Amino acid sequence: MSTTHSDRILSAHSVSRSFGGVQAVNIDEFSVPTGKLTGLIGPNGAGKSTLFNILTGFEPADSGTWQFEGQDISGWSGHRIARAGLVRSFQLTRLVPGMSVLENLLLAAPAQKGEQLSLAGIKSIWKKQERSNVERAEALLSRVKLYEKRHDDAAGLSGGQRRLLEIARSLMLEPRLLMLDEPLAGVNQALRETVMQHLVELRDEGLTILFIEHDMDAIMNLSDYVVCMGGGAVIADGTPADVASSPAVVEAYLGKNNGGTALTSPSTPRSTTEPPRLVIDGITAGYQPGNPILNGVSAEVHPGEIVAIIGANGAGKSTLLKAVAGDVTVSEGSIRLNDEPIERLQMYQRVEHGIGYVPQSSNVFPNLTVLENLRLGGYIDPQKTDDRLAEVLERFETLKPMLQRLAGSLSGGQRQSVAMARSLVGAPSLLLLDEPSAGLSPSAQEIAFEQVQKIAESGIGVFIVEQNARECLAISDRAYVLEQGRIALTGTGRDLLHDERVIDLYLGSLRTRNDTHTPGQAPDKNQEETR
Amino acid sequence: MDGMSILLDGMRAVLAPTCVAYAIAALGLNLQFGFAGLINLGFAGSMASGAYGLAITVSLGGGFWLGLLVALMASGLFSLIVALPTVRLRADYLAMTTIAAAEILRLVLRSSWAKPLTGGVYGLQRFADEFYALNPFGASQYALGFIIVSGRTLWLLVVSWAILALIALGLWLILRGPWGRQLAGVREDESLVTSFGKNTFLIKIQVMLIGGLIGAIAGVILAVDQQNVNPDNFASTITFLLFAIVILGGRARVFTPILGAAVFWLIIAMTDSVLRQLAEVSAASGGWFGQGQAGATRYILVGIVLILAIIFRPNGLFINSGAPLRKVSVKV
Repeated sequence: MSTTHSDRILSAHSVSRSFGGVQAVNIDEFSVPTGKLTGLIGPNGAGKSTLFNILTGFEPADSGTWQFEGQDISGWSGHRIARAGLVRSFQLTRLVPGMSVLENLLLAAPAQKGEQLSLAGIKSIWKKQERSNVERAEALLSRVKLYEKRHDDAAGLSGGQRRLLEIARSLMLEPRLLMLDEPLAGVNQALRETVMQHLVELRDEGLTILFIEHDMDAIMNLSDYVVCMGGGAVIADGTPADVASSPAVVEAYLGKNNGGTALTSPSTPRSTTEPPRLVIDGITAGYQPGNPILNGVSAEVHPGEIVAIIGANGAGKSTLLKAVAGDVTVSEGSIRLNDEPIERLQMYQRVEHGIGYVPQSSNVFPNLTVLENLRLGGYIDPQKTDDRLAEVLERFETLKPMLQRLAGSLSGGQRQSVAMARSLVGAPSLLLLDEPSAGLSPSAQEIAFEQVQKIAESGIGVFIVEQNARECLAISDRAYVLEQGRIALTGTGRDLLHDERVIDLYLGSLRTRNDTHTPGQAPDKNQEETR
Repeated sequence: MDGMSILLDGMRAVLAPTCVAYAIAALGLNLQFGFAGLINLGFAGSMASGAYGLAITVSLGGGFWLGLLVALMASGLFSLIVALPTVRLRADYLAMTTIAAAEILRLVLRSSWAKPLTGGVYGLQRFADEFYALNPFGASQYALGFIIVSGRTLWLLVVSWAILALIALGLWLILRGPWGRQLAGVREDESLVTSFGKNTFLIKIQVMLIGGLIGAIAGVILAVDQQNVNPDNFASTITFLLFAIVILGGRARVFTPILGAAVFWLIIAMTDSVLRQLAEVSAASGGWFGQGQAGATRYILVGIVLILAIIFRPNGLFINSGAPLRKVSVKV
C-alpha cells in the first residue's frame, strides 16, 4: 500500500506482545486515517487495549515499529508520546479526586513553566501562563457544559460528566490524535448523545480520533472507518458496513460456524427430569449498591448438563457466575444449590457446598508447580485429595508429564486445563467456568470444549460463560442469552445456534442499520465520502 | 499529682531543639509521603547522612560550614542512590527498598571497619563548637515564659526556628502552583499524569531529593543539639515516629506537620511526666509501678492516642474530614 503519512496519522507494523504464552497482540499492519473518526472493535481479549497501551508507550512491545505523523515513536516513553501530540484516555474514567474540576484540567496543560522546579517558587514567572491556562480550561468546560461545576470536587461528577471532563481535559493538551478507550462506558443514555456529538464536532474541526467501543450503535453512528481486531490481529477494516458484513468479524464475535466437527450438541437435553442442581431465582446483583448489573435473572442447571451464558460485552455474564460463586453480593432473589440456599454464604462456604469456580484470568498460581496447583484444589477433604487427584489426572492425561513444571511456564491452553482440573479435585457438583476458551488457539479451544463435555458426562452440572458463542452453543444442552443484565432469550443450544436473533444481539445495529442508517448526528461530508 | 509540672514538662519538650528538628524532618517526609504519595521508610537514612556528613567533615579537620555543605551533599547522594533505581517501583516495594537502604547505611556507620571514620558504635562528638562560638546569648539562663533554657540552647532554638520558617515558606511557595498540582496528580494516579506528557520519574526524583535535603537539615540540628552523633540515633524508629507526626498533624498540607510535631512531643512529655509521678506515688505505697514500666507505657499510650486520632480524625488533627485533599491553590 502506498500511503503517505499525511493521510495516515498513525501507522504500526508487525507489532506483537505476548503474556506467558498467550499472544495478546500480533498485528501486521494497523493505521489510523487522518482527520477521521475511526472505531476499533473486537470481542473481549482481542488485544484492543493492549494495542492502545503499546502505541501510547504505556506497555512495551515485544517487537514492531510505529510512526506518528511520519515520526518513528516506537519504544518512546508514555509522556514523550503524549508531548508529541498523541493523547489517550483510559477505559475506566480517571481523574484526580480531591481536586476541583478546573484543577483537573489545569493539571493536563502542557509545557507549564510553573511545573519546573527551578521556576515553581516564583509566581510572577508562571502567573501569566497559568491565567491563560485557566481561561482556556474554562472555555473548554463551557464547551462540555461543566463550567458551572468548575470549582466542585471532580470526584462528585457522574459517569457521563467524567467522560466529558476527560474529553475537555485531553483538549487541554492540544492533541492531533486522540485515542479514547471506550468513551461511552459508564455513560447514561442522556449523556451518550452529548458525548457522541462532541466527538463528531471535534472530528469536523480537524481532530483525528481513534476509539475503542463495544456499543455497535455508537460505532455505526460515529465512525467513518472501522478496524476490527480478533485474537490480537487486525481481521477486518473498512467502512462500518464493510466490516459488519465481513464473515471474519461475525466469526470473531460468535466463534466459528463449523457445523460438523467432533463437537456435537446432544440431540435431547440431558437429564432435565432429575431435580435441578442449581436454581437461580430472580436475582439482582452488582458491584455497587443501587447500581445492579443483573436484574431479576433466573436460571437452572441440572446434573450432567452444560448450560451456557452468552451475550454481548457488558451484558452481565461474568457477574452472573460471580454471583453464584459468591464474589458479587446478591441483593435480591435466591440461589439454591442442591436445594439449599447459598446466596448469603461466603465464597469458601459455597465451595464446601459443592461449587467449583474457574475465573476468567489469573486462574493458576504461576509460581507453584502444576502438582501444587492441583493439590490446592483438594483442601476441603485432604484425606481424599490423593484419590481425587489420581482420578482427575486420568481425565487430564496431558497434565501428567508436566506435574513438576511451574504453572507460570505453561501455555494458555495448558493453564486452562490446570485450572479446570484443580477445581475438579475439590469434587464439585456444579462447575462454573468463566470463558475457558479466552486467549486460546483454535486447537486448544477445541480441547477445552471437549474437556468440558467430559466433565458434564461425569454428572457434574456445568455453568459456562463464553465469548465463543457458537462453539459453546454446539456443546451446550441449554443456553441463556443475557442482554443488559436480563435474560433476553433462552433455549436449547442447538436452537440458539441457528437463531439469527443471537447474532443480532452481538452485532445488532451494525447488521440491521447497514441500509437504513441516516446520519443524524453530524453534518456529513466525510461520512458521504467513506460510505 | 502536680498538673502544673506536667504542663511545664510538656511545654519544655515542645520548646526543645529536638522538637524543632522533628518538625523540620516531618516537613520533608510530608513532601514525599503526604504530597507525592511516596512511602519512603528510609527517611532516617537522609537524616543520618546529614548528621554524619557534618560530624565526619569536622572530625577530619574541615570547618563547621564546610561540614554543612558536605552534609547536604551526602544526603543528596544518598537520596539519589536510593531513589534512582526504586521510585519506579510500586509503593510497597519502594517502602521495602528504602527501609533496607537506611538500615544498610546505619549498619555501615556502626561497623568496626568504618570506625576510624565514623567512630563506630561510639559515634562522633564535639563537632559544633564553631557554631556555638557564634552564640550571641551570653547569659547562662533565659526565661521563655515559664521555661528556663540555657543561652546555648536558645541560640540553637532561634537558628532552627528560623530554618523551619524558611523551609516551610519555601515549600509553600513551590507547592501552591503547578509544581504542587503535579504532585497531587502523581500521588493519586501516576499513569494519568504520564498521559498528560509529564515525566513522573523526574518529578518523583525531585521530591525524594528535596525531602532528603530537608531531612539532612533536621539530622544536623539533632546532632548539633547533642554535640554527638550515634548510628543508633538514626534507627528506623525515628522514621516511624515521623510518619506518626505527619499523620497526626495531617497529610498534604504545608504547615500541619509542625503542629503534628508539637502535639507529638506534648503527648510524649506529658504522659512521661504523669507516669513518672505515678511511679513516685507507687514507690511510696509498695512499688507496683516502677520507672521501668513508665518508659514502656509511654509509647503504648502514644500508640493508643495515634490509633484514636486515626479513627476519629482520619485526615489528621488539624484537617477537617471532607476537606479537599489539595488546599494550596493560587488565585491568578
